[in-house]
Amino acid sequence: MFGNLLPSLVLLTSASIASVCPSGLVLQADHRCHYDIRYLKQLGQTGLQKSFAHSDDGMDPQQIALGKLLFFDPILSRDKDLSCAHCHQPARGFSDGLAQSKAHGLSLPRSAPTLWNVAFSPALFWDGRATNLEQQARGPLFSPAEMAMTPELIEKRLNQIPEYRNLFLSTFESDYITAENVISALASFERTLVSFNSRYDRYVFGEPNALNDEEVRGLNVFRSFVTRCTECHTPPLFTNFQTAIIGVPDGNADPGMAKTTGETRLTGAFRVPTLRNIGLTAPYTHAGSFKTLADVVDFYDRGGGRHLPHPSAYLHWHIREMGLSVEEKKALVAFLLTLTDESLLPETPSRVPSGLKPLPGPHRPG
Amino acid sequence: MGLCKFGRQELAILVFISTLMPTARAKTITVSAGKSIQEAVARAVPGDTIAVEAGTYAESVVVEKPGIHLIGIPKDGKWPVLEGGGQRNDGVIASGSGFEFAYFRVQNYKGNGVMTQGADDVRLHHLIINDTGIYGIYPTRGKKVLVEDTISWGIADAAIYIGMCQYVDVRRNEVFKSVAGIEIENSHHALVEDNSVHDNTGGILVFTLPGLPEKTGFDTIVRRNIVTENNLKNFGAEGAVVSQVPRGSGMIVLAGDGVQFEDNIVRGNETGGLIFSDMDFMADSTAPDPAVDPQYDDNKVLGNIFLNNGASPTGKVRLLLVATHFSLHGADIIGYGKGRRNCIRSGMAATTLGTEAFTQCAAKETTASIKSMFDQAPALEVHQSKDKQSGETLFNAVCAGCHGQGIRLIGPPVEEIQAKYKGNSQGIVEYAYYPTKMRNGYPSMPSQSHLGKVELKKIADYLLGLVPHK
Repeated sequence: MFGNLLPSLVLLTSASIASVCPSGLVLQADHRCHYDIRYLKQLGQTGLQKSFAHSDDGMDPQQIALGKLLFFDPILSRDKDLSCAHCHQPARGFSDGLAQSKAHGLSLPRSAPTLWNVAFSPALFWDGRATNLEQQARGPLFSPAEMAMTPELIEKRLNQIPEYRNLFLSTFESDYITAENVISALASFERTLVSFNSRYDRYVFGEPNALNDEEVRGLNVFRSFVTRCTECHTPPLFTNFQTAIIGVPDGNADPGMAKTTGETRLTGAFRVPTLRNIGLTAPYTHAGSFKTLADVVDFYDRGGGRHLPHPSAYLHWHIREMGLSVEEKKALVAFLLTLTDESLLPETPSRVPSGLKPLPGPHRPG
Repeated sequence: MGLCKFGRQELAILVFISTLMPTARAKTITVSAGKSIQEAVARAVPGDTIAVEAGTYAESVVVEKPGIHLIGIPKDGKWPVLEGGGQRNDGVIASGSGFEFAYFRVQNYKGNGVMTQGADDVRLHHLIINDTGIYGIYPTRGKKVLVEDTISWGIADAAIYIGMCQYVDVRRNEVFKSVAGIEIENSHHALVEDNSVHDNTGGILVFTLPGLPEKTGFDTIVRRNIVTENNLKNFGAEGAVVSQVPRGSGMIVLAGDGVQFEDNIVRGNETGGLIFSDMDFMADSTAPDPAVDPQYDDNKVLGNIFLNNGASPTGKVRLLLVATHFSLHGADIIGYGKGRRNCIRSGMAATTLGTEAFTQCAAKETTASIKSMFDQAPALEVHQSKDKQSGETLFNAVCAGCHGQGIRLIGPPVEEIQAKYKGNSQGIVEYAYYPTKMRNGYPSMPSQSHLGKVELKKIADYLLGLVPHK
């Protein structure tokens, strides 16, 4: 009985800290954090202001705060050397600046996708094999090549850390930490990573001077049917959540969606990535094939890739030679850079309950 | 913060109202030859008319504001002409709702003639469009779209292309010498009526294609069109879906559902007059999409007149006919694949191939009661905060288009839903959130999860409390 007294004191403190929503979210009457996003505000918005479909059931503020600590805590890897933030570094658009992510000094097959606006994606991983963030988190956590954990090891480790026990007790009303609840908290935190306040958004919502002339020209090239960019990178999320074969050479014959679906015609097909914060997440494509946005624009301008890893796979039918002028390509890149917005970037915690170093790891190029 | 937010919403409502109602402030800005239309757009406010005098305008026009009317003033046979010179990308791109574009010629652009992106309540009429690259007239992702009284030709994809739209009328247009005349793609509630469609590769196409965010296409009426001699050699870009349309196709339904053909004149199309096909027939160059039903279902061929179609089929149709019917001739009506619940009116004197599974349509069945899809659209959702919307408003705005009282529209009538979910509004919420295909003979309901469960509950409670009309 006495043993429970101290934790409940800590519980009170942590609960009061955590009942605040991060910026960009608003605590509503259901005591949950709901999005405060212009594109989700009203029905019937059209054109560039068009709202997108999303059911906002809200997130528990305590889970968000707890998930943030877990996100940065290397305790979640077998060798205590990787946190989620190692490959999804806040300072690098929640990617890692690498063509292919690394764990334990070895390269993984694909690049780390950004987590900005990941809450709104109905499919996760480059090959879309997870349909929600809870499912997705199990991938890197339990992959032997990555964090190499097991649910048992997570529970064993975290239940030995009193601070985590207290936090979980106040959040989940159970003094035993389950892997399930760990994943649930991580997902809640990831759902708060939203970016809709770029200069582009300000332009869309009535600030004509938020973009300069070249950037507006770039937007119009982006929307043009010579490029057809918006067909797949549809505003406001700048993805239509479909998959496409664009034929980039990846050097390792990545099967892509063929593995997810068992359909050989989807060999080399990958999820259309968002372009939000694209200026922060170089290099580009699933295999990091392009170092700069100018390289990507050139690639599409030339009609995409001819690297089709399976005879039954076809290049996406919207991709063809564009014949853009040098100025148009430059304007397009200038426009893409207006999609940068880190106004709701969460602060990296100064410490995590395990006492391990919370910052992203040593492989920080550049 | 709270105050600030409220202010913004009120502003949005005001802005919205001002776009819907012509106000005393609405003005006309006249543009003369030699001046810039785009510059006039920059000065315009919602509700304004930009009147453009005859002359050549070598520019691309982008309209982001709502409620803009861009209207030409042709005089003595001379038109205002948007001229792309083979250099510029698109004639007009508009993303503001309530956009009207009329009395213009648009020619020689590399991309599209006129395109609307995500704009609702769009009216495109009295236009002459030629040689504009990919599409002539292309509204996409819009509700309430009107395309009337236009002429277009020389387009490498579709002259008129309706992409992922709802409540559309395409009426009294002439389309020719293009790869596709009129294409209705992954759209709902479209009326294609009184058009002249000739000398294209394929005349009227109703397609449900894979890989797009909208996974279904249903409820299209194709009525009183004259579809003749669409025998042009296919000049579509390699890789484009339409590049696989066989020359000589009068009308094609590809994986489309709920398309009704009535009172069309269909003559001299050398591959076939009306071809129904499953997805793999033409869309095999696109990556497959498990979320799209590949079959053509619930289509009806009511009274039409067919003459002399299928004289010399080409492409896959030819191969297919040789392989399965030992024939070198096409037919007025061709079925390919495993379509379900399709019917043909008897006594039309049409030649058929592969339509054994079609039944006879009911003798008196007609689309005559539907005069317009555009006018049938539910009131566009207005800018107001979600919590101010009642279940009734939401039901009428979102659901009533498909679920009628005492009548089957697209989905089951209200009474059937009430019987099934009596006392269980949460059941409706769960279903509307993640719909599953429940009934044969009905198209799948699209998920309404974007409304959120709170709003869905309001709708469900309202629906269960509805009393029969008297």
